[in-house]
Amino acid sequence: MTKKDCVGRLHRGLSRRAFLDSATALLSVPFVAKATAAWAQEKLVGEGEVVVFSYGGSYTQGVRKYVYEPFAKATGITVVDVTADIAEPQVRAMARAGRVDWDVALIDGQNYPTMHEAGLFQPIDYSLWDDEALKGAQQSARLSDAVVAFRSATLLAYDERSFPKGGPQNWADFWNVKAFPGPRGLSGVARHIVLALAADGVPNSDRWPLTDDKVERALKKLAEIKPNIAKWWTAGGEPVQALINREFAMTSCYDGRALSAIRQGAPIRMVWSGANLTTTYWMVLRGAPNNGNAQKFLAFLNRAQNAAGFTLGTNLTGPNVNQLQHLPANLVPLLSITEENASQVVLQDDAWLAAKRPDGKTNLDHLQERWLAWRAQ
Amino acid sequence: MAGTMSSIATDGRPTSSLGSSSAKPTRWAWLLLPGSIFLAVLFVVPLTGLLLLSFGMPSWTLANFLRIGDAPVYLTVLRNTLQISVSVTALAFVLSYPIAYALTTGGIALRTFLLIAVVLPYFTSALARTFAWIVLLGRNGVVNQFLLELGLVSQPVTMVYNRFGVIIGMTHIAMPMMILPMFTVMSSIDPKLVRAARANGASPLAAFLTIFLPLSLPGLIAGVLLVFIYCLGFYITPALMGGLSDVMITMAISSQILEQLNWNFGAALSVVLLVAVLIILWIGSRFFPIEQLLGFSDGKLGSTVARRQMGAKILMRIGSAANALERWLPSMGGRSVPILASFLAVLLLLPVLIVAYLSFSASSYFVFPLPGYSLRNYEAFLFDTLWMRATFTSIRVALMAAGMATALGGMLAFGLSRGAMPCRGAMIALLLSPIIMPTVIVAVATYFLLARFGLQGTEFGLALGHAVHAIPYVVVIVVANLRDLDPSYERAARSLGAGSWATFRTIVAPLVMSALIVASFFAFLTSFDDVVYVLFLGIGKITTLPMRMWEGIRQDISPTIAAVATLQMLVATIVILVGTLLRRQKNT
Repeated sequence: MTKKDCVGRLHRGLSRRAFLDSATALLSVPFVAKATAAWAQEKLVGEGEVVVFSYGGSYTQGVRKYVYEPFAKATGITVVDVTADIAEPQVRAMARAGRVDWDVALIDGQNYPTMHEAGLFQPIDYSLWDDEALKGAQQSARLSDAVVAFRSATLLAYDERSFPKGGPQNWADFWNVKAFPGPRGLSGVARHIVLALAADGVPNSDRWPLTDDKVERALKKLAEIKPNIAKWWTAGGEPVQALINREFAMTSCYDGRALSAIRQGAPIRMVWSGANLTTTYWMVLRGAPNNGNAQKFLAFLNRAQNAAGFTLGTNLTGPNVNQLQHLPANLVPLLSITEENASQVVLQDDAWLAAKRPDGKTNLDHLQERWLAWRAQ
Repeated sequence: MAGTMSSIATDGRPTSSLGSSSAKPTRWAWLLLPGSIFLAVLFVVPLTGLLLLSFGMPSWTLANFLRIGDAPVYLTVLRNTLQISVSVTALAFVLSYPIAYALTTGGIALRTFLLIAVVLPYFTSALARTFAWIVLLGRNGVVNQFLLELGLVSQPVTMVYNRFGVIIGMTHIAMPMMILPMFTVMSSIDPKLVRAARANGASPLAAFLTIFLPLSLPGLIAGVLLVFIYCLGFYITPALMGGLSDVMITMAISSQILEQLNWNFGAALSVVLLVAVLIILWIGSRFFPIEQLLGFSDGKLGSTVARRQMGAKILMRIGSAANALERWLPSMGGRSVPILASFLAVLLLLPVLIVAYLSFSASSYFVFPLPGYSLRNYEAFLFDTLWMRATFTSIRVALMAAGMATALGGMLAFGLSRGAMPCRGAMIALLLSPIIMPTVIVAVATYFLLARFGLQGTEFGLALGHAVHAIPYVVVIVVANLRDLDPSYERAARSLGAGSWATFRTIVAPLVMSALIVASFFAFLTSFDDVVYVLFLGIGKITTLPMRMWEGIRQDISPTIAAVATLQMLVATIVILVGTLLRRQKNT
């Protein structure tokens, strides 16, 4: 441990990464964990506070216990929660008013391109990051002014009590009401119509961009299943609740919610095939009052051990795959970042959704409006 | 706004029957000043700024409005909204009138029971209540089990997740808002009038139709007006209890503001909504003299007399028809109204009782029937500093908001109903706008104003925003009650040498006290129930109780919220019982 510590300091800035690339491969797992913890004390130490957006409820409870408390202990920086459903409208309002009260927020990937262009984000200081963290999170997860916080899958979940002989295996089975009878649930969110494309046999690789013909195809497919949908859910907690109460036999569902219920013993199964994968980013607000602490917060959060803590505390999974070594073995197969699950899901094309159409609307605006027209008819 | 004010103060000619000195209406009109300034600064100015975004400020364009015109879906959504709002208003009216009537005329036990039944649903979180409805009406719900058991149906009937579910859920929430204004007005009706009619040969029905019903009209109109406008702003209940097609305009606007960040387009949709509602109210006022019925004295005395004569003729005819009809109606010994009202009250209480039952769940999810009893939800609430802090924050903010709204709204109501003025219609429209506009729009606009003064994220700032939203409720409720406050009482007091303050204290205050209490109660609850203003005005730094509850449903749907709701109901019940006991003591 001391050896790695010294070497790390010696090589800082120059060939640190090259060295550690080979070094981490040789080091045993607990060894890495201890080493990073010790490193934290001298690298990210600070004072004062950092104001971090939080979803509230059990998310806030979990993240405080598994991430914020260790962070305060290691660095001396306290985390102040600011709570709302979603952060984007407030982030935008604060930027517009010229009074930025927050440091760090979570941003939905579909809003990232527009907000990035508007210059609302501060660059991320990756020089503070451990090499292990940089290596564990894909390059595509580390943008110049945002870093992936978690990727959330909208997947098929079913009540295993309803299907003792085996449940649905993909979205085509979801549409097959003869073989798999029972009331169903789907989300009222526009972008989830891509799941109908999976049911209609569109290969995963052809899903995006979601051109107009594909939208119409998806809506046509949805019309088939519409009579069997007991409820188009809105709040993320609803589908899990409805599966437990047997209001649904199967439903679309966020993986984090299903995971949370499964860990509490609910008889729910997740099916990853064809799931829609959305991205949520951490970002530091331009004009943030505690930018330095915010950067340290993100560096700390993305260490394998803390990333694992984030997963345990929130049921949402960050991008650092090294965290898998710190997680209980029975949890790993239920996460979107394990190779088997990752290969079956389709990443939403946020850049395309934010792109402008000839009429000035974004593709997302257009999709929302088309969806609204379909549902309100 | 300021221009309107000065014209009221100087040009407002005294046309009411008061007429003893020409200074009086002017003095009354001065009461409009504080509330008007408050609304101008905290509502009109910031909202105008935001609504100008719909015209693409600073580069003027009509593109946003053209987009609404191009996409017929927004008109469909607006039509949906109006359909749902009208249905809920009508249903709430039909169900509320008997309750309000029994609340006024019944004995003390019945009155206390009804008051609790009416008020408690208001104290349950919308979310816990929604779940209770699902327990009752769901596919495996209590009602369906019952119907299946009796063999009345062979398949579960779909009663939630469709239009029916939305209307039931919304009506349940809206009924207190219908009942309480009716009740305050009904209780000021002199029972001797009805007795006189009966003594002169009117049947009970005829006496009701010709005396009681017309005199209760102001409360009725106030209730209908409030509920209709209140319905336009619903978005959580339709989302949780409705079907796919039950999209309401506030849902569409909220989604534009919060999720898609299209503020310009969201503002344009709000302008369309505001204009549509004001047009509907204007058309409504052509057919029903809303202003007059609410209790504003009419300027043109002659027309009133003519109208009165016609009204009297119509009432006579109704009376004799009712007298004839009465003979054919089955008599229930005068108990029919209390029985009906009690039955309706039990229906109101049913979901509330289910919430209380669920609060003792041993499961970490809402499960019905309970797998086991425990107090874990109460522990989770009472021993959690975050929950407790949120509770006290909510109480502090709601008290501040209710105080400001009752004081300013009360003055506005007096000024409006006593000070005659030329543009009262416009003034009323302005006063109602804070509750017609989707809260999310007003919240964003107010945030920009507060941020300029560093008041964002403070409890006082949040209370200011809540007060703007609560003032319309206060004004409508108080105005409806002022109609029956005869100015001659005040004249009498003055002629006996009482000063303005003494007159107010001894004559006016006691007579409007119940209206002011009900109004401040609504003001308190609109603040206590808010989950939208706090998002922006609190800018994440303030967490209120309903916000914690909303997080609860978004994150976990944990039954802790049922425990919170049950405790709120317990407090409300105690307050009502203590109030009743105190009044009884005072009377004996």
